[in-house]
Formats: sequence, C-alpha cells, structure tokens
Amino acid sequence: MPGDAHKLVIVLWSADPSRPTLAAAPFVYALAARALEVDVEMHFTSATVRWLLPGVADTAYTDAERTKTVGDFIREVKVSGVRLFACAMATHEHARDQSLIAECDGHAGAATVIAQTMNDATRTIVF
Amino acid sequence: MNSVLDQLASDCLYAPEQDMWVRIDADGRGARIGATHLVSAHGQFMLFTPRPVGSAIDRDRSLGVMETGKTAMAIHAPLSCRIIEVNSAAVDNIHLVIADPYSTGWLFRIQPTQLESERTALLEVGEYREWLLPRLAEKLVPPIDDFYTEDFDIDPNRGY
Repeated sequence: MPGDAHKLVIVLWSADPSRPTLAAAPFVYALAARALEVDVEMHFTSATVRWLLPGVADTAYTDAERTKTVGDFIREVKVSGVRLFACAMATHEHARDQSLIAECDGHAGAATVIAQTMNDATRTIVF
Repeated sequence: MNSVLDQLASDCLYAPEQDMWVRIDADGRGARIGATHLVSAHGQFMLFTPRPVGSAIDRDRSLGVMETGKTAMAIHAPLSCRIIEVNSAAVDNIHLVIADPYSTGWLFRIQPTQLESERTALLEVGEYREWLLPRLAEKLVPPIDDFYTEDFDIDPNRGY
C-alpha cells in the first residue's frame, strides 16, 4: 500500500436506521480495506448507534432487491476482522439502558477517534 | 464427472485454500496466476483492484481486491511472490475473469520468492478435484447480486 497509514477509522454519523440504503457504503469500504489488510475500526455515533441494538440491523435492507441487510454486513465485517465501537454519548442518548449486539466490541468516546485521527498511521472517513 | 470440476484447466497447479491457479514458467523464475472459476460463486465481479507492480506479498496475504455488487474480498496469494505484472485487460474488463478465468482472465505475473518450500502446497488438477468434490456445496453458494451485466457501465479508473 502506498503511504504510511495502516489503520482506517470509519465513523458512522448520518447513515442511521432512518436511511438504511446509506449504510451499505461504510461496510463495503471496511471490507475493501480489510481485503487490503488495513486495520479497521467502525465507530457508531449519533443515531447510527441504533444499528447496534438487537433486531434493528437485521430488518433493514440496504438494497431495493431486499437481498442484504445491515445485519448481514455487520456479521460480514466482523468475520473479516473489523472492530465495532458504540459512541458512549450516543449510546446514552439513543440506546440508554439497552444491551448492544454481541458483535459490538465495546464503547469508545470522541477522544478515542480524535486521538487516532491525529496519528499519522491512521486515516478517518465519516459517513 | 461433475461439470463444475470439468471446467478446471488441466495445465495448472491449484492453491485450494485460496481458490487460485498457478502456471509456473519452465525455468521456475516466474508464474502466471489467476482465480479459479469457483470464485465467481461469490457474486458477479465488478471491479478488480490489484496491489501495485513491485509489491512483495507473502503466501496467503492480499494481492488486491475483488468487488461485487454486495461485498469486497481479498485475492489471496497462492505463493510468496513479487508482483511483476498486472493483467490490465482484466482491470479494464472484469468480465474476462468470469468468462475466461484460465486464459485471458489471468490476474498477475509473479516472481515466486519461496517456490521450493511452497510448491508442495499446490495441487495437480486431479488432486484438486479430489480435494474440491466434498467441498463443492460450500464453494458454490449462489450469488445474491444478479443485476450485473457485461454492459454495466463502470469506469475502472475511478475505483471508489
């Protein structure tokens, strides 16, 4: 890979459950990055954290043909080695007192994303 | 004989775990490699994005990316190697990889770097058929994206 970066942080911000067709792109980017052996984290912020609530992603289709759900993508990226994090503040606002799906690796805050973004080894994409 | 197995080229060696074929040059210094026709079971390919010529890749590591309408996946190296050529025709027209995987749809010319020790992991076509037969069902999971046609307009230079 050209360049020095070897880690990609994908921040989901606007691709929330109200617009599931927007959610495919960040997952496909994550898969492509993993196929190039880039270390990938996905951070679910704002209302996108609701993708990590049980049942939400499995009923949201990303395509008009209704062949693939956001839940399918979540499982696929997990198998490929992507780590998924729920924004702590977003969880407090949008998913308070609710358990998150098993694929979620835990909570992370804004400072975690900023610290990584300021690191030369990391690139960040926001959806 | 199973029609799927009949499509395997008889003059190739096969890396079973990677679903890749290898044709080693007579002098052993170079090889041409590609994806087997079974790879199409992952979905209709739309883009092939190789790593750059000159890249050194360990066996089973990523040589590049294949993208379908629904996913992206790594092309795993069947041998440790240095990439010496990419099939630009396949980059420009991914349909070659699907329609003619063992000839014009080849993916890379490589210089193997550990051929002596890794050659034993490659299978002759008969051995590969035996390896594949009990695994065919899992290899041939139907694609979920069926909207691709040969005329689908994608500029390979744009990538993502």
